[in-house]
Amino acid sequence: MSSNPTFESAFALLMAGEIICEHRFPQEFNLMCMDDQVQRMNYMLSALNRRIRTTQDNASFLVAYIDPSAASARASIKSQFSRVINQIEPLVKWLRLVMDVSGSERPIVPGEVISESKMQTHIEQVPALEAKLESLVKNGLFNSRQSDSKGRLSFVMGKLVDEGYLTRIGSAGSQYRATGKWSWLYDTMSFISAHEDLPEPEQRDAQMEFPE
Amino acid sequence: MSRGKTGSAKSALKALGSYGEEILKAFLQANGRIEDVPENDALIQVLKKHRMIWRLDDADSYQIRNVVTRLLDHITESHRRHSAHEHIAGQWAYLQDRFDAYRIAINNGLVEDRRNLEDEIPERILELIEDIRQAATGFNQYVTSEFAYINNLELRIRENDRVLRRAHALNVLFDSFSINEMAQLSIGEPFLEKLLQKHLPGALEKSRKDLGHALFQLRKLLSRLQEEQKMVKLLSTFEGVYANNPGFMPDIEDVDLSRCPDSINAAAPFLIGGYADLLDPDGENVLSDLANGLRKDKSEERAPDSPRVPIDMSQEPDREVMQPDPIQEAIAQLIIMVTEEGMSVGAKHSRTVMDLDIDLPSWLQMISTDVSALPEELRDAITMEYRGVNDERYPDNMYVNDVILRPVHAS
Repeated sequence: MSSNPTFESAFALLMAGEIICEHRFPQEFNLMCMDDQVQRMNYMLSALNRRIRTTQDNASFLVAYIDPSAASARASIKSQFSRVINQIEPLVKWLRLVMDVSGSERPIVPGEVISESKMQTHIEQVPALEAKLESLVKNGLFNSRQSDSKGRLSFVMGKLVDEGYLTRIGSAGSQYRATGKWSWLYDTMSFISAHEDLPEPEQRDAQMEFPE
Repeated sequence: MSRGKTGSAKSALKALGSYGEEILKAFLQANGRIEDVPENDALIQVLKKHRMIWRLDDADSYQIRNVVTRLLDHITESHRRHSAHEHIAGQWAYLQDRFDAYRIAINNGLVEDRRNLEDEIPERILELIEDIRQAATGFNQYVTSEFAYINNLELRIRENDRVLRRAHALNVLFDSFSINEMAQLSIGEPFLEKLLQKHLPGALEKSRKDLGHALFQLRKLLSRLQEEQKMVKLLSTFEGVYANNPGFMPDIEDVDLSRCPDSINAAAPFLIGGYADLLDPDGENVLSDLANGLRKDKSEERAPDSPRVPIDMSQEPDREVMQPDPIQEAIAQLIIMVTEEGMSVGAKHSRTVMDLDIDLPSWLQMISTDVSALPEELRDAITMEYRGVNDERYPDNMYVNDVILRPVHAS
């Protein structure tokens, strides 16, 4: 059988634990939209107790276990879960910061464009936003010793690129696009919310809300 | 314009203003019909004075004239768009009534009434077509704006839902227009046939397509807004939890992983590596190119050569002396015994006598090989005789258990 470089690339990315979406890996995503290619991958993966799955919005592809109760799978799922729960709080804070800066009413979704320079301008104009950014980089995922807003924001954006949540647009590096990894994060958060039976917040009136 | 005419115009406009509410009600809710009842007397008198209403006979209700209708159409456009389906349904019901009247006028030979209806019906149908078009395209503005003029997500979803229901109602109304009904209503009149069987169905078809597109987009938008609402709630939930319970750490110890939900089922990275197959001739060229490249890179990075220093070899290097193989030596002795001393020797016996450390099959094999490999002159001087047991099934094959070497003259 002749080799297909896109298939090879998609397969290697998935096996390396990457999440394939149209914004970060467009060629590989197009290939994953073909049922026969996914079937072929599933056939290859089945011997490794693995299969392809999508996020709930069908916007991203990743590899899951066929039998998650197998010993190695169980350990891996628990380890990955531990990793993500340590990241949720800083990511939630960052989502709220972006919403406050952009005046948007909802968290970012895959495909959304974020401008670092615009964010920086807004943050520098509003002390409350600067304080939020400062609190964000104090510890955890975005822990940084940068002393000014520009450096802090740049560090946070870079970290989000490294973690696969954002991808850079163009060569200038100040424009980013949200990837399908957000879908995966929202899926995980939905699971936690349901599993831990977290209380729903009281109705917030967005029109009455002002930045702190 | 003369003072008298200006005064009359002002009076007409004033009348419209004074009875604005009643006129709008008649236009929007009764298809321009004003009932001839005592409470409408004042209104009817004023409108009649300015020739803004008409009726065919005393038994009929009054009807607002087209000149006024056009003005009302213009000024109430946005309102009509909001209640498009009621308006169109009403217009259609009124038209059906006019068709009945037209049939009666034909049957009874009422020439003047027939002429009036022939003027009115096409105008009404064209208005209906225009209203159908406007109603269908009116939804595009919602699709384009995505209800961005409403800030609150909850209210935006409600508005989207309401518009979607209206679009659906309009779609149902469009579906209620049937070709058979149009054919019946046109009663063989060429001017009606053209309007009812060509222009009106054409407008309906086009509007159905526009409306179908708008419905699809509105449904998609509603679904997206609901999804966004879910996400906002999710985010607020976590913010609330982290605010009230700092260091909140969920765990999945109690989750039955045999029914693990997909949301947390993600496989660990699995490294895929590969090495070049150095024995694969197909890849030889590629590999040699790669190897050349590597060598070149290395030479570029290499530090400059250090000056050459002669090596002092005052002592002779160690020599390693190869010990002769005792087996080979023994075979050479046997060959000498046969060729030079004219003796016959048995391999099996000589192995025992010479006390050689080799098993019998290997010993026999080595003798056979070495003797066969002798120079032709020497080989011709020796006869090799194999001794053993022939195979029962294949008698040409022999299980050799000894080899006898004899000089040729002895044999």
